[in-house]
Amino acid sequence: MSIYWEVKMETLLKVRNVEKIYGGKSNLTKALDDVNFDVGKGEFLGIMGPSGSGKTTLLNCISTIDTVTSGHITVNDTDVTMLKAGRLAEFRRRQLGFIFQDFNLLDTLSGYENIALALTICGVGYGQIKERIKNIAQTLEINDVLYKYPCEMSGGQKQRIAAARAIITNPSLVLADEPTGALDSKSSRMLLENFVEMNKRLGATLLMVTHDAFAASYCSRILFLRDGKIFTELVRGADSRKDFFSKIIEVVSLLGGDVADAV
Amino acid sequence: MLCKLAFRNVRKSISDYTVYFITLMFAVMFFYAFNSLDAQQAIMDLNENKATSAQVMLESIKLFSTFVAVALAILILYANNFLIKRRNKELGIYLTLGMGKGRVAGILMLETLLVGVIALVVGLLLGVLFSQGMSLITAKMFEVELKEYVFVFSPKAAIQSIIYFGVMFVCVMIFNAVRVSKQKVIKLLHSDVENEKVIGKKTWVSVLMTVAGIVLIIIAYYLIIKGMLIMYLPFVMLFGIPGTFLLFAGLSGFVYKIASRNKKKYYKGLNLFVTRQLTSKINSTHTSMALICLMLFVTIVTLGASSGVSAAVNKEAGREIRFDAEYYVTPEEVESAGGGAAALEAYGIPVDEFFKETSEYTYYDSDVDVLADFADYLDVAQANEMADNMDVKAFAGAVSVSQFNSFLRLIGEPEVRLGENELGAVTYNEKMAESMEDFSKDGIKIHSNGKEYTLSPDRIRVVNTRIMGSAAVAPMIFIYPDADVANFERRDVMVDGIYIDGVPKEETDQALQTLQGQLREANAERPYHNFTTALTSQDSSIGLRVTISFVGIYLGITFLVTAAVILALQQLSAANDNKKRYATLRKLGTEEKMINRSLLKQIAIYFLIPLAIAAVHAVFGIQGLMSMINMMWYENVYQDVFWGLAIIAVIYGIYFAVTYFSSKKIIREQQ
Repeated sequence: MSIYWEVKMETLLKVRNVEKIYGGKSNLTKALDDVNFDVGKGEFLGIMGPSGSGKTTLLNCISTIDTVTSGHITVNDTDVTMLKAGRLAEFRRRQLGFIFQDFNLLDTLSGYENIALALTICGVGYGQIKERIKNIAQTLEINDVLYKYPCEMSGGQKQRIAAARAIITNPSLVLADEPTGALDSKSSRMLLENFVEMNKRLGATLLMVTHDAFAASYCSRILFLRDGKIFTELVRGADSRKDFFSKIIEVVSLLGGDVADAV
Repeated sequence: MLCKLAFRNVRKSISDYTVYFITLMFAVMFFYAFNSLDAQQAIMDLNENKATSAQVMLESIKLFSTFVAVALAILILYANNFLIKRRNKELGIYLTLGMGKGRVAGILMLETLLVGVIALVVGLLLGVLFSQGMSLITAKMFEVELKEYVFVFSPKAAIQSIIYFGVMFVCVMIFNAVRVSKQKVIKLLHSDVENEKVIGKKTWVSVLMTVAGIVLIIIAYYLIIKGMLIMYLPFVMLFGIPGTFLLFAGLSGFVYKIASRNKKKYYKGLNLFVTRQLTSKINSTHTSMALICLMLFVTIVTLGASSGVSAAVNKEAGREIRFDAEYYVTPEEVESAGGGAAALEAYGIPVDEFFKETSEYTYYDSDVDVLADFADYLDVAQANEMADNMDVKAFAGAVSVSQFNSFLRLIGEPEVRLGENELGAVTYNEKMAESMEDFSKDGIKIHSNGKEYTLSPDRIRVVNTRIMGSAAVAPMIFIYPDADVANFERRDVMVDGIYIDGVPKEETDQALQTLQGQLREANAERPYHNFTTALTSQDSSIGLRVTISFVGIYLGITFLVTAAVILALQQLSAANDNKKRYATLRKLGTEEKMINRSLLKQIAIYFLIPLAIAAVHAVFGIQGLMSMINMMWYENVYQDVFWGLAIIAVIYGIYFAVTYFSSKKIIREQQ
């Protein structure tokens, strides 16, 4: 069992010796403590851990929203810890797609426009926008909500629009922060099936932070974080989702904390 | 404890309080400065005439102060509302911590009081400073020297400001207390998450509303151009005001329709975001935007027209009057005394003691209808319509050639010689003279008195025949051969004179007026019904000019600032809601430059829309007003209107800039 990706797949994300320290001299908190792992192209990686384990901090560091104290994070051979502030926006635009727990859709824009916005920011022309949205809408089955406004959509619909927005730019890496956190179980399942679809059919690389074992069971591999360190790793391999779920539960009960409560 | 908390809160949220504080301070300053005008004019060396007109000005300012106070009160309430909204969460936290509603309301009241008192003190200080400068301007406008430089302070105006604004603060305090005690904690805590938007009506409904609004507005414009503003005013308002509201009600859908027409442009950069943000903002604030638009319209018209009118008055006063005094003597008195001057002598005025030279002529109404006969040549928009539809007649004046030549000699103008069936003409307006020259060159005959007359260009004179003001006389007077005026109706006998040499004219003027005052007390039966001197007319026109300018500036700037502050606050509160939206844009990888540009675009368009519509309204409004004024004075004052507009551009521009930079600051806060 290794944290590093060893199979023939190309490595997309490299996290090396990452530390994140909060606080001053007298009162140090290590949110991330020497975290190392790789993500291969086309992987669907889950990160689990109790509250305060550093999941979100890790995600924020990868997504360049936060900076690391030391260590390196490389996405597609670009070291994001070395990127200048002026280049960050471009990096996010070209390489990353985001899905948030609270959707973060723009409430004044229709679903269609929310998806289109991600493309217009990149300077994609209208012809392409139309084509791409048509394709993604079919894949994610969101045709009927495209022309609705966020306030007219259910949580699940909103999150699927957000997923479409995240993937429409063909990012190298899609980052999802507790995407099912605000959804009911049915919507959660639909969204997760969409994720699998995105992963399998569109070849998207996904990195999902969650503390929901059910959501995690859709991943191909799971990293468990505790107190800012990688505690263990689970690879689904040939397991059925049900078996994988049981394995996750085992680890979770080992880990303790609120992840166990979440099950 | 409460005090300490309130004090610390104000200091902590100083940036939030800025707009509120500046507005308050400005309001107090402005209010004090204009209401202390009486103290200002007391230090000036005003003669009797000017003092009277200054009194008129003070009265009008006092009258409008009530309006201004109401406008300012509304503004302060609005600004306060914005401030409270921004701090809802903080108040909610106090409540969850177990502080009673009474105490929270107490904190708020203390804060309001604190800010209010500081603003009042600073505003008064600035007002006192400002009024020093203003008294210099007032003195200059009254064309007098300051006796000596004295520091002006009006306790009356200060007390008045304190009372007015004190009442406003108390209202705000009560308002805040009620607001807090009625709010639910959950609402306060989650106030920043609440951003569901009401989806607008269907686009075609909006487009229909906009088109209907535009049609109504065009009807109003048409009425202004075609008709006399003063007669059609109720109709103009009936169409114009609902038209404006309809236009704004439909505007969001209309703008969206237009902007999204070109898909390639719409789906480019942040264009679609800007469009949506703007349209949703317009959609939720269309009523207040329409109100602001009308307010700006009133501002532009008052500022523009007041500079126009005061320029017209100024030009009127600057007319070249080549004699010093005029009497309108009644024809009967002239007949019985055997001459105008003789009638005055008989009344007790020793004409020769005051006047070096006099002239007299009888003024008749002719039977030539200026509007009907000259309509095609006059530059008065409504002349045709008035003549055709309204049956309005304006007869030209008539004088006999020999009598009038005596007047022309008095003022040193070449005399007029007439042949048989020939007329001369007198007007006070160059433009009118040109029209008449065109008329005579076209060889058109004038039908009058049962005869046909020719008017040749070299017999047209441009002179001022009256001191009273050009409006006192028909726009044109025809000079008839002596025998031909017999059938016309006599109006007045004009006795005009030039004061004696060797004594300053002011002294003669004063002496003459004093004498006439005494005579009048002894004998109310005067042979003349009107008497004016050139000096009095100048003084009173100065007064009129100052009054119009001051009232215009006072009202105009109050309205303008009110409109601009409300727009600014609407944008700032929007920036508050927008914080989250811009954070999302940033996460999506939008460049900071693009974000700033989109913010600038939104605010600029939001500020420009009401201004642009108000400006178009004002073009027609001022046009209507000016054509009325031009009809009275026949002077072109359009270029003076632009000075009024320049003031608006500057003040509005300042508020726009402040709004943009504070919005930028707000949306960056979360970073």
